[in-house]
Amino acid sequence: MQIHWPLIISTVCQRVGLGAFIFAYVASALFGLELPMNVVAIFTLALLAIGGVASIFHLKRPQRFFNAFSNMGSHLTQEALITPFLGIALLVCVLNGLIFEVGSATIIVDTVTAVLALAFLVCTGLAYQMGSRPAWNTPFVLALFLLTALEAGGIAVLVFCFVLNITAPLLLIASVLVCTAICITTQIAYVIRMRGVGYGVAINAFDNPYRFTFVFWIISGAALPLIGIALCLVFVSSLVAICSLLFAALGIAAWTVLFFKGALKVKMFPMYSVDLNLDM
Amino acid sequence: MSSITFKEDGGKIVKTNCFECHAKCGVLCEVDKDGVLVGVKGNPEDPRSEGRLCGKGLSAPKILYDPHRLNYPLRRLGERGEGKWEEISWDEALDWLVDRVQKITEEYGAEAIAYGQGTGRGTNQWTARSGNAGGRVHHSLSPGNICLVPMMVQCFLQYGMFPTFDGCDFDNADCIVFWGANSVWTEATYTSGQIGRSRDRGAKLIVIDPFFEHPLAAKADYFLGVRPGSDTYLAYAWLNVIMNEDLFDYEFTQKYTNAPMVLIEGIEAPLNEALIKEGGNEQAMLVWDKKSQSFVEIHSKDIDEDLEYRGMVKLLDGQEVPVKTVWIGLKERAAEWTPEKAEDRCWVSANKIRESARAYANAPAATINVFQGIEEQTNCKDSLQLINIIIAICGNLEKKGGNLSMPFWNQMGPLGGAEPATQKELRIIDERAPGTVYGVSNPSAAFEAMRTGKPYPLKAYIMVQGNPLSWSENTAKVKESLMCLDLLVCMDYFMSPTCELADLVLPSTHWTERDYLADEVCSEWIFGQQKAVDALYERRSDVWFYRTFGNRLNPEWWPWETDEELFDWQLEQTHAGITWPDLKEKWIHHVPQAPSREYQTNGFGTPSGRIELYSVIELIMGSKPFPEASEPKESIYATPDVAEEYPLTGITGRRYPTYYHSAYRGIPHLRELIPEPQVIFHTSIAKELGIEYGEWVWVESPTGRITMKARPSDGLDPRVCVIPHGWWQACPELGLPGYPNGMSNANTITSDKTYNDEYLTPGLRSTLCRVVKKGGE
Amino acid sequence: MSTNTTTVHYGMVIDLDKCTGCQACSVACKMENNVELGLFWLRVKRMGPIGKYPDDVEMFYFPNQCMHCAEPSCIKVCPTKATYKTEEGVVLVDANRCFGCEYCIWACPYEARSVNPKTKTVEKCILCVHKLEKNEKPACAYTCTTGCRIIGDLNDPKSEISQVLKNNEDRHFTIHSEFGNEPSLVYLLPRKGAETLCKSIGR
Repeated sequence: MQIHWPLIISTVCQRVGLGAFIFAYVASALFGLELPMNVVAIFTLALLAIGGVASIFHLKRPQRFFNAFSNMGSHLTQEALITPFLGIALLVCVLNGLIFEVGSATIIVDTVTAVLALAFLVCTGLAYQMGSRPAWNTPFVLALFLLTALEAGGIAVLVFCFVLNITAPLLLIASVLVCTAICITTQIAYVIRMRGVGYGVAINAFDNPYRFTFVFWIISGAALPLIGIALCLVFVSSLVAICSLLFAALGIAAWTVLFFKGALKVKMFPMYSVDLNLDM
Repeated sequence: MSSITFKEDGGKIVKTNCFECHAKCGVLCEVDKDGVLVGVKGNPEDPRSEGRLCGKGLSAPKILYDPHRLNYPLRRLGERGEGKWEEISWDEALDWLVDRVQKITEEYGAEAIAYGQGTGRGTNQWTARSGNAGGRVHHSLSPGNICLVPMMVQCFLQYGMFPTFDGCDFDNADCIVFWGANSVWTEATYTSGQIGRSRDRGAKLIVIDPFFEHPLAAKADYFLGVRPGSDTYLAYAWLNVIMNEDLFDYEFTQKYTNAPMVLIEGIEAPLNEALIKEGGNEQAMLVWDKKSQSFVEIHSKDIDEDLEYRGMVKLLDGQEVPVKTVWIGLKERAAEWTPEKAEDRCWVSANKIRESARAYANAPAATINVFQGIEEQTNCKDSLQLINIIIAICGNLEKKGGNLSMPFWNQMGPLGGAEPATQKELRIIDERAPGTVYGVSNPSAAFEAMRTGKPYPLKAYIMVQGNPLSWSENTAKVKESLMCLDLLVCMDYFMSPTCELADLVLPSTHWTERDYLADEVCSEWIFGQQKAVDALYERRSDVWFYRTFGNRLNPEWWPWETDEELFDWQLEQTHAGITWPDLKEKWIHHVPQAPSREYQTNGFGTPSGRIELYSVIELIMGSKPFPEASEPKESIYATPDVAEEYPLTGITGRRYPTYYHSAYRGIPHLRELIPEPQVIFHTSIAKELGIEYGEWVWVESPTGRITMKARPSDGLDPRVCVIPHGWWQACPELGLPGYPNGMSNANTITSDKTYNDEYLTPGLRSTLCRVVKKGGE
Repeated sequence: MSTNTTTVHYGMVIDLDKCTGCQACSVACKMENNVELGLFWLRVKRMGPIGKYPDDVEMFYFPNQCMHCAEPSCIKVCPTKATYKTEEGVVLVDANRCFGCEYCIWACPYEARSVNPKTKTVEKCILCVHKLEKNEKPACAYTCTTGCRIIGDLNDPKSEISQVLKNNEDRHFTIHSEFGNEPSLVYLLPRKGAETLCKSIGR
């Protein structure tokens, strides 16, 4: 399949942004991390906005954007429906403490926002999970949308900690490392699965035209973030954390390129070694 | 019911016939209130096409209104081929042309002018008439030698009719054979539907073709992947099986063919009555009558002809000579070609030859469709004769489900006018082939006369719908020849490569903007092919041009004041039994059948009144009366030295379903289906030469080289390649290029060295060639 | 065609044993529906020739167009409801609603859809509904040079299409039925030339 750049930009932004919010939320719950959630929410909202604009660019007729709310059965409609609520929830998070105080309701606002963020990612993941594209016809797709979000989100939380001079518990850093490792392992598993997904679709990521993207991902999406996070275990460096986040984001983009490239159509007659041809 | 239905909104539906190819399917043209042709679809009332219509016919509105059509008469300014033109009126064009023709005639004689066409738009007879008019020499610079003439004339000589083209009764056949023919693409609408129905009820299908991409090959019960040009061996092997296994129709062979005719052994000439009886008729051929135990004239009734008579006969001059029947002569020849022996030569397994021969011969009714795969060979006379013999001895002639006569073919003769007395002496042929049967000039020799002035100058070439820079073999030489002319006139739809070299280019009307008769290839019918819209710009119909131009030159031969008068004359000459006004109103008319449909009473239209397995006329014409198991004159076996350098046997002329020869590459929605010329050769060759799919490669022969895109395929013998023809036109709307100077024209590489002795046919379907990787030469 | 009062379910049978790849249907579709250059609502594709020449080669033509599924995956994913199915089972795209997100193109297993570069909306075979409404055949079925296309009401056991299906029960084939789209285009398997296909589905 051709590469849809607006979708790559939008889903990467969404994953990093929403992942950061979810991870920050979970980290506060688990490790008592005291991140200012309104700062995280600004970050998330900004990325969500960029992602939203990018996804509108994907549409051939963007002026009809509001038609997207029509089919409740479509994951895209579901995603679209979540968006305004998610936006409002994030806005409340941002303004909480700045303009008004919701006090003890903060936890409720944060929880609702995190749930909406998760639901949004789930809808995106499910939208891509379709039978007609054998590489996508797997729960791996949803899992990977969530895992990449968690990976990038985790690194983003580290960035917040380092930049805002908030002590990051070792366990937090370790859990970011673990999330990243799980994500990378799952991505590798997905790539291995692509080697034979049936319907005549068999993709070796080391072959052209996938090779460059795959190697790029290995470096930017796997090696560098892992090294970066490992370094963060040893010493506090905002620069290392920011670089790790950028590399991870680029890596997710690269991996999404591969994800699109590998989404070959179902062969009409997979029992033949060749595809239908147009020769006369 | 009238042929025009007027609609309430001011538009109309016109019943007429398509002419995007010769099939002339019945169509309904929808014209809106402003006189614009908005749609064309098949007319279910056409008993042949039943409403079906191919992509070419459906595209008629696009072809009619294509912005690249020729619209005005153009006269050359500047050098020949420079592309500078002035628009002139038809009056001026005709005055100028008549003047030029008269001057050339005065200076060089009428024989200095050649008339021609390509496949034609139903104007064969008018091309011929222009040439014949007033005793002119008809050089027929038309591709008759590669299209229709060999198969039609060979049928006439043997059958007195032409039943192997539109006479195939696919609908009722129990076995259908395509032999060197792909009519389901070329005349799809009156073949495919019928064949599908027949196969549904269990009819067997045999495809004899070197190319598995023949659209029926995969479906066939027997696919015989014959080596191009080796059909003689295959046909003889079929005969071997059919004769030795007694699969032939004994009664038909005995009673209605000249198989029992007695020949003198050795010289293999007929034993005629004058040889054995004082005062006997030397025209009288003899058979041995078992009933009276005597030689009787072949037309005799109530006899019991001996198919296998052999004996000694005392001639009047006292000589005693051995005699045998045609049947024995044929059987002896066939005996040499066992399926095993044929297999070596034709590359079809002996087993498959046997089984397919049995399938054909055992079918209650079987039909064979023959065409240019057989025709465009230097041994076409023999192959065609053999196939005709097979059809005849299996009793499949004039039989439901077999091969049927179609009346038009027997009646088109007079339209072209009598052949001038000077024709035979002044025609141009040379040592390459005598043309014993097809009595016109060898096109190649005529082109040479343009260049050399030998044996006499050929100074002018006037053609309607002709593009020899596409149809003629060795087109580089043709171009050189055309450049030597004093007068080149082309009437056409588009500015073809030949038009580009012309002195005068005339715009033809599309079939939707002209009235005409649809008769040839129309089986048992004739149609009023009336126009749907008025002619656009200054386009004129081909018939109008011939009639008007002819009338100015020679009113005796072209006396008609209007096209309608000419149509009426044509209808009268062809015994159609209807006049133009009635036909136009009725649209379709059933034509009286040929007498041979009732051959039991009327016999066949040959000298013996029988089907002539042994062709007496060909003997008289100086050809061989029996078919030979001949090899193409250029082939891997005939010219192994050439084959060493050029190991592939190339087939040119394979058809596309959306193009008509070289036409319509410029029509965007057709071109996008088949955008580029692809040379097809076996996957193993591609691997061997390191050639990838879609790579531009050279295709080279001793004659020249062209470039096409490589398309490796599993569907052909590794020793064969398939080279499509007709690529010259660009399609600017799609940004697809044209192919100037014959750079991708198949005929740039076909040979002008060897020709069929009888029909002057070059070996276009078995050109020795090679595929070369670019940069690797 | 049916004049039955019960619900009509339009379908088409395409007999791959008859199709000769002449492209008349492709052109007819283009002319009838004024389909943009470069786009095909319908195109005849080809499998092969593949195998060992001359006796072990397979080849068949495959007219490829919208299958007008009873359970179309395109409709499920379309966020705008531009893609919808008529009561008679014809799947259509409302060009006034479609915003060109292309998800339906991805979700269709049959390569039936494309974006029109001029209108910037998705389009595809409409089974010539405008003709069906007038009780006429779609342009492709009308013009087919081989008679391999039968259009009609699948719900009417007396319709020609139902009869053809009944008479060729051993050759029915719907593409990727395992996706549950339930195509209304039913192909009849080639009697010859598709041995690998037939074997893989146990025929």
